[in-house]
Amino acid sequence: MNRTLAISGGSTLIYTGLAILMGVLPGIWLSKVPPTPGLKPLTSMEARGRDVYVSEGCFYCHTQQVRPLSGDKPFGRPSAPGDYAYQTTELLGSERTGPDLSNIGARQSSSIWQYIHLYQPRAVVPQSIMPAFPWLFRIVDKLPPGETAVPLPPQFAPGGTVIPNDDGKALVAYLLSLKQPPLVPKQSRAATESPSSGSLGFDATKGAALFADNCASCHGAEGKGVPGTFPPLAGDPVVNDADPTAHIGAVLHGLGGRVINGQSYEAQMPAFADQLSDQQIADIIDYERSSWGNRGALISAADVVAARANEPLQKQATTPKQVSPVAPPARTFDAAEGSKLFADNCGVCHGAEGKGVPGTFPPLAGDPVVNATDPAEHITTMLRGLSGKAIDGQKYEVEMPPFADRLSDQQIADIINHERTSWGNHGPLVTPAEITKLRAEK
Amino acid sequence: MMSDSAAAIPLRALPPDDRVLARVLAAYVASATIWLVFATAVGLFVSFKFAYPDFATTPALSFGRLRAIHTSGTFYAWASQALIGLALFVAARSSGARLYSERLAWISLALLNLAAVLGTVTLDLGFTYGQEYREWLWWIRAILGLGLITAVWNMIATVERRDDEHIYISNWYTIGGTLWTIVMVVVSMLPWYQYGLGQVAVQAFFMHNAVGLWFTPLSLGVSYYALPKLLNRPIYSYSLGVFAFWTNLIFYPIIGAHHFEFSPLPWWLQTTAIVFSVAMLVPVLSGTANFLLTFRGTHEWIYRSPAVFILVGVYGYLLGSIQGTFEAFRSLQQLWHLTNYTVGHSHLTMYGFVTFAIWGGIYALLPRATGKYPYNLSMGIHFWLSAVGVVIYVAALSAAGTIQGLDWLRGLTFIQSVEDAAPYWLWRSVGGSLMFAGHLVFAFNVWTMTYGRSCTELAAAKTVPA
Repeated sequence: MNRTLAISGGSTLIYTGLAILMGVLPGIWLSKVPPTPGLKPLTSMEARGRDVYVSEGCFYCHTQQVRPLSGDKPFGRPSAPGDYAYQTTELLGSERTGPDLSNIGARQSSSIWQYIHLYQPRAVVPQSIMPAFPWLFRIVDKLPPGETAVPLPPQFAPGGTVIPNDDGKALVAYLLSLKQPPLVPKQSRAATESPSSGSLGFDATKGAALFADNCASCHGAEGKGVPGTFPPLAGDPVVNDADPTAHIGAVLHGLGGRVINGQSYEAQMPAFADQLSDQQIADIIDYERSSWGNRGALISAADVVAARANEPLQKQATTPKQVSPVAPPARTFDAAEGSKLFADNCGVCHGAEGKGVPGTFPPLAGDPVVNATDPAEHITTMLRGLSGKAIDGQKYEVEMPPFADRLSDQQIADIINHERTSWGNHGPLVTPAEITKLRAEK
Repeated sequence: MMSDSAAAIPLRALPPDDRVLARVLAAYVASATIWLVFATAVGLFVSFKFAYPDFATTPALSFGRLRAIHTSGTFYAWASQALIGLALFVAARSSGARLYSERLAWISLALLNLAAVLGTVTLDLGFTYGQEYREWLWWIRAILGLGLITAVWNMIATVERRDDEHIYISNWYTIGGTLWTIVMVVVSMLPWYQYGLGQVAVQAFFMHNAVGLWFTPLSLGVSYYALPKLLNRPIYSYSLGVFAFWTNLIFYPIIGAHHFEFSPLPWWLQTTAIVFSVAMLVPVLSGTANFLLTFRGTHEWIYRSPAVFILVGVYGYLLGSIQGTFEAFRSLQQLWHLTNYTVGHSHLTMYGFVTFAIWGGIYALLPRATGKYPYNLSMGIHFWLSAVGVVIYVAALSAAGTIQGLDWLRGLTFIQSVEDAAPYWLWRSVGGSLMFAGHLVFAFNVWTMTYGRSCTELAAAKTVPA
């Protein structure tokens, strides 16, 4: 009996101990992670939608975990632990046969698009291999009051009117609820506008806003970072160093695989050289150097210009692979960027070829607004969205979302210029300044 | 329920104790084989949906439901039933004792089948817990747990009947693995620490442990008994086997979080998992060395023996485990994580290792129990269909996964990665078709080794005309 006891009892005791250590205790501890500020609990409709999501096995092909890696950037900001507070039946998934859905409610906010896509994915994405879910819909002869018909392209439309059933509505409600809250609430921007910061010689309001938009999703509004994943900036030696070279270099060229205060950080910080102007970078750096108890020497935009010019030195000082070419001061239309932004933001509805979906999403190829000499209507459509418009005698009911809050002026200009130079279009190019101007007009 | 049909096996030549053992083993293997054919038919069916997504668009035949039926069916019905049947047989034979309770063996088999049937039906109706490898509703998993408890009770009680003080190494692995799995089933079911991210931590623990502390020790345990029987020589080193047993136990439970690298799980938990994924090379290399040294000098003739199934299993274990260690590195996960590469890896291990080891065990032990041998030719056809099939399968998905990962890193549109992987998904179906054809031949072989007329009987009929 002794040997049996050693093998079965002893090994089971060891295993139980390890199971408690690696499964139960982390489970208990992590079950108490507070929700990310701004995260909303699911409504009963959305919760039912998640049950449909689970029951139909959506999580086998779609993850809900955005990693701090460059390949995950199109899906949203990196997922934070508190994002899962209301997601029991965790749906992080282990495979991406389809894209990540953590932020799908923001990325694809049109419920009509979601319905068409669920009824027949190939109606909106011809190359898709996602299964169709026709059992989430009903086909009726006459549209009941209060219901919305799903406007299917003719070749996919069955006889009769397609409307979502309760499961279908719940699933779309759940999908649209999947929005990553910004890790910085809007109020905290106002809070940082302290009058005393005026004497510091930089625009603290701008610095705070730029920091919130570009840095806070990882480093946190309080500069505390996320332990073990994103380094804290409060009290960081580089931020407080009198010599700003390393600080400027990190913002310009990004950073990865660094050991800070004895803790190793693997997540890649992206390079901002191409995304922000010298003044903006200076504002962010000064904001960081004067916040959360930091007392680093302030810098000016000229320091950033000098650091950019010193590129070869910077390459050695920071991680070489993160170095990107310096953007010319007056940028013209970047065709590659425009094409990519279009694919990320517009391609799902208007199609990679700009052909749209007849009767549902209007084509851009040959469109009079896109080819107009005066770009005002094209720009306002991008900024404020559009709905219920007739184009070429065909009426389009599906709402186009506004992009004013999602994209910068430069990005909107790039998209518009891409549209104006593609698929046989010959509209004159626009500049970011024109977007800025129209954005200001209400 | 199985005993009535199993009683049809003509076992006149065997002493009564052996007849019981043969009946039990034959019933477990036959039941497991039915599940293998069913669950892999489902797998093959869904693989074609990657090429023809609008084929069979109904809820009951949809990918999202059938995928879980495929994995749960192969895991908890095919592999678990076959391994428990073999483990009961090994417990009795290696201890030179009678099986503790035939009745208990039937109860275990009935519980395992009940769980598998209920699990399959409820999954197809859309009732699922929605956690990979623990999709079955909690009360169905409880039935599975009861099946394991009755089985391990039988194993321990049988081993306790031995005269020798010494317990054969196989029983270390089979009894240990079953007991740990019972703990795992309980841990996975308790509800109070499974909220939000806490549930992710439990899932990270569960989904890898289910593979490495259930299928791995039982497959190794069965091989430690079957291989010496087939080669007619002792295992190379008993103590190396014991060493691998304890190191596997200590390192494996810690590595589950490597399935959630770059996720919001705490970074230290992920790092710990990576460190111990490297440590897993210790039990893997010592276990593999032990088997390969046992094989040493037999390569001239093992290709005409069922030992070749175990040889493939050992290589599957070695390659799959080393691949697992490398995949755990963050630098490589940036490329491969969340791609089809992982699906290829899981088939290399669950099929190339576990399933081949089970086949080796069945071909080695079932004929010794029933006195009926399969035809060499059909055993060879089974081997080559399955081996070539799994090589195509794993190669296709490794390539598809690498391409997907590179597309994402390059920042191409997501749909581009779908288009680029499509041809390889078709190759996966080709490999899968060969594997499935192999399973049909295997089912025929099981028939000849149990209820049908085997080649030995035919040979006897020819040489001794009545």
